[in-house]
Amino acid sequence: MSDTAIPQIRSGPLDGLIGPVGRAIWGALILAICVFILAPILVVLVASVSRTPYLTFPPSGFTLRWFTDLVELRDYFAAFQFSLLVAALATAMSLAIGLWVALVLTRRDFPGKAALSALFMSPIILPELALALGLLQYLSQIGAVRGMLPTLLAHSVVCAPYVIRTVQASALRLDRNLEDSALSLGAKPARVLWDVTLPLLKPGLLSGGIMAFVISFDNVTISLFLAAPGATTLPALLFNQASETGLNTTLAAVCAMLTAFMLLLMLVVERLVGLERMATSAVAGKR
Amino acid sequence: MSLSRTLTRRQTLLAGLASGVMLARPRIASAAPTEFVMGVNGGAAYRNLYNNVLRHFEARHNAKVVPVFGSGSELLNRVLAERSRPTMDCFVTFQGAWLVGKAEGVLEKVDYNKIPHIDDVHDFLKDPDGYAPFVNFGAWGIVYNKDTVRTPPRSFKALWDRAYDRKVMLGGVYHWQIHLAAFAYAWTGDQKNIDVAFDKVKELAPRLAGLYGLSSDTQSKFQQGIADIAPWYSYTAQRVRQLGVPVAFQMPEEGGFLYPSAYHAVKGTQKVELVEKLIGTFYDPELQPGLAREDGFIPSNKKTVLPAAVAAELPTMEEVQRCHHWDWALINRDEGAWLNRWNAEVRRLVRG
Amino acid sequence: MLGLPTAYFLLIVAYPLANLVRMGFSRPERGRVFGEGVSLANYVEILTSELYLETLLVTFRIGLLSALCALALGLPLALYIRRAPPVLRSVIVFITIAPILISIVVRAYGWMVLLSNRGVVNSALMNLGMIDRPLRLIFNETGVVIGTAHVLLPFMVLAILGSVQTIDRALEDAAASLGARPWRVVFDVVLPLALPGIAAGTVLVFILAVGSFVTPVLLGGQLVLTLPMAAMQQFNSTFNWAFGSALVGVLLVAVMATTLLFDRVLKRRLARLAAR
Repeated sequence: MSDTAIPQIRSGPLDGLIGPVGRAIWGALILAICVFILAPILVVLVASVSRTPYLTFPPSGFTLRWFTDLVELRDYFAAFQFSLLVAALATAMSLAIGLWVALVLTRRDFPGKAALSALFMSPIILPELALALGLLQYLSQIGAVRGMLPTLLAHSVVCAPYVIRTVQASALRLDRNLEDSALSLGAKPARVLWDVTLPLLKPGLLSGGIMAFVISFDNVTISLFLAAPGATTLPALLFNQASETGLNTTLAAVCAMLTAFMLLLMLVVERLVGLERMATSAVAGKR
Repeated sequence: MSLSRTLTRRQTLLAGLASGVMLARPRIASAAPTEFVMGVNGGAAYRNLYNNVLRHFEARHNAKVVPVFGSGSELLNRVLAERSRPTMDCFVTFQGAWLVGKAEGVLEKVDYNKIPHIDDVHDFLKDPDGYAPFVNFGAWGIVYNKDTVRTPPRSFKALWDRAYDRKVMLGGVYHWQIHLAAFAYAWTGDQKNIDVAFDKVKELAPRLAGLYGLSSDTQSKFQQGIADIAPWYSYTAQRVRQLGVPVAFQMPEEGGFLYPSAYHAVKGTQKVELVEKLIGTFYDPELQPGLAREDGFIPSNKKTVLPAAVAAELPTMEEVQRCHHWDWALINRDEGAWLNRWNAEVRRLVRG
Repeated sequence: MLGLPTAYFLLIVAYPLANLVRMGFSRPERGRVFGEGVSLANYVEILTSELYLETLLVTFRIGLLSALCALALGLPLALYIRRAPPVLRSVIVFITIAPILISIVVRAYGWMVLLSNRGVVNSALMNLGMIDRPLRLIFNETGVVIGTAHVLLPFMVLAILGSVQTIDRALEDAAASLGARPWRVVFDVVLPLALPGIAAGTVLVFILAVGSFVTPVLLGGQLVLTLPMAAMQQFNSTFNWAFGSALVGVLLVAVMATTLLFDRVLKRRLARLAAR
């Protein structure tokens, strides 16, 4: 675990480098940035208890009825279930692709490797709109816009680069001697992969898997365009409902619940791998 | 983080997995009604539609509606893209999309003889070529905030009155073309005089409170007090009023514009009969008062009797008869050129 | 070795995009949606029309400003996280990453409540007597930049964090103990080493901002026209798929050119700079 290896001797952020006044200004700046990050989210959460059916801030009155109106919430819950299913399957697919690609890219040299690597990384930088429209045109021409298939295909390629990055980071640190000695002791390659390589790559797979799950679960643009009959994810449904009726208080309540779910998920992540480690290796790549 | 410390890693993972499986488990389907895939507008529009019409349609014809959400344009795009292998049985369109759909050959004709109550429906809602008739309609006129505007504009031309400076918003990205045609008509008596409309809109642009986009945007701008007056639809105004936003509809003196919508059978569907039944359900005089009260749709069935309180909130039939239709053939033909002009000439004059 | 994944990516990523670009080269008859034949007309129209060149400019300006704003906010945050004590560090990382998990639709509506003329910020400022009339913070480019920077800030912080974490603290401490002023330590020791991360983050945010669609639609108030929005107008308003595809094609080329430029030119220079 490289995080724990970073020495944490001093307590202050720039301690020893700046005086008390400088530290106060520095602290205030950081606090202001944190407020900037949280403000638009908190506003919606707070407004979700307003008595008015539309969003106002500060909320007028207090009620929890938007959280308990099960008839209104039924469709959102179905979409939530669908989103979970899609995210889980997309994560599994991108883990499989990511493991395969990352292992080959870190261990072999072959002509055209740079181009291939660019192809596998491209979904991160391609405009989602282009990917979604292109895929929609193509899939609808062959009649494949049914069920979760289109969403899943698109999510799997959008999430895979993050897994490739994290697994690559792990694979670079991996001690090849362990695998070699297992092979020389007569273990079959498949067993070596399962018993030696995979456990060693676990941090990378875990980080990448979680990042993939989050990216899939939160995607709007692709899910919106590729939604097939009866197969709409929660973020796409939220966008649809919000653009049709504005952000009414029911939607704010749904968002509040979604936020609670995400907080729970982050707690689990923090417990399993450490948020920071997961996120930096997925975005910044090898380190 | 003290909670997480008390759990072991494995426990956390297992608990996460278990709850994930519980939540993701798809619901078990009951019996076997016919699945009917419908492209519809989402949000409050769908909730009202379901409660007032689709619920009854499902029960009466043992169907199960599977909604696909989108705007009329988005849905038409979807239908066009999948023309070789359609996934939808039927979808909602407005007049502009209806003409494009007809020209592109992606709509299926319906048998008017099989549509219940069709003889009681206004003739202007029927399609001469035998495609689905329009099921409901409202008028496009002037919507204003009752609390802040004492004397609302009585005609489209009155929007240019200096008294309404910085109060009016017009439709941006999605609605600009109908504004242009309507204003051309209001100022010259002919929708074709689009140059006049452009000049007039450019004159008004610097004095606007902004432009609106999707219907949610219009609503939130009324709510937040960003604008107090907008050319808008009578029925969306009614729907927003249900939410407690104090808006009222003013039919312009020169007549508003009718904005009907239809549910068309998609070319290649095996369920044209269900589309006919669905259209009939819309026309049911028992169900129309619900549509009128919650959605502000003017009854399409001449025999529908509305409670007086509901009728008072809707445009009268006299007003409807003085309304105009947009020249959608003209709009569809020239829209591309207008769009460029709108983006280049008008947008930059609006201060927002 | 990579046959299957390559085929998968070619089929799901490359082919649909190529198809989209190809459609941009066709020209539909009036009133029809699909184009036929091969023609440069769409691209010529885009690249010679003042409107679309301006749209391209606006899109790039929003991308650049968003990237700079995200940098201005993300750099201090990343530097702080790097040296913060463990608990505070977890909390700040948590706050930084939180927005990725919250639907961007929700955040856009949050901004409307905060920034509109009668919103929280303007009311507060007016009550404090700091301004006489509301600042125009939303439904213009300012609003789009604020919203986009907010959405993409986590990516910036993470990219910088990835590179500053490898900096040897002994180096800083050594500089400080030799009597260097704190800001000199940051500028002369930390920043040069963080440069690759800063550059990578800025380019990533720029690219993601240029291609974003939901935030400009919701926060631009219909007054800001970006390339993705112009493309969507063509699809959804005038049903001109060929022209819309061509606009997306221009966007694709712009994004790929930026990436290539970064990879070929900037990265090498930065590496050389960091090595010194």
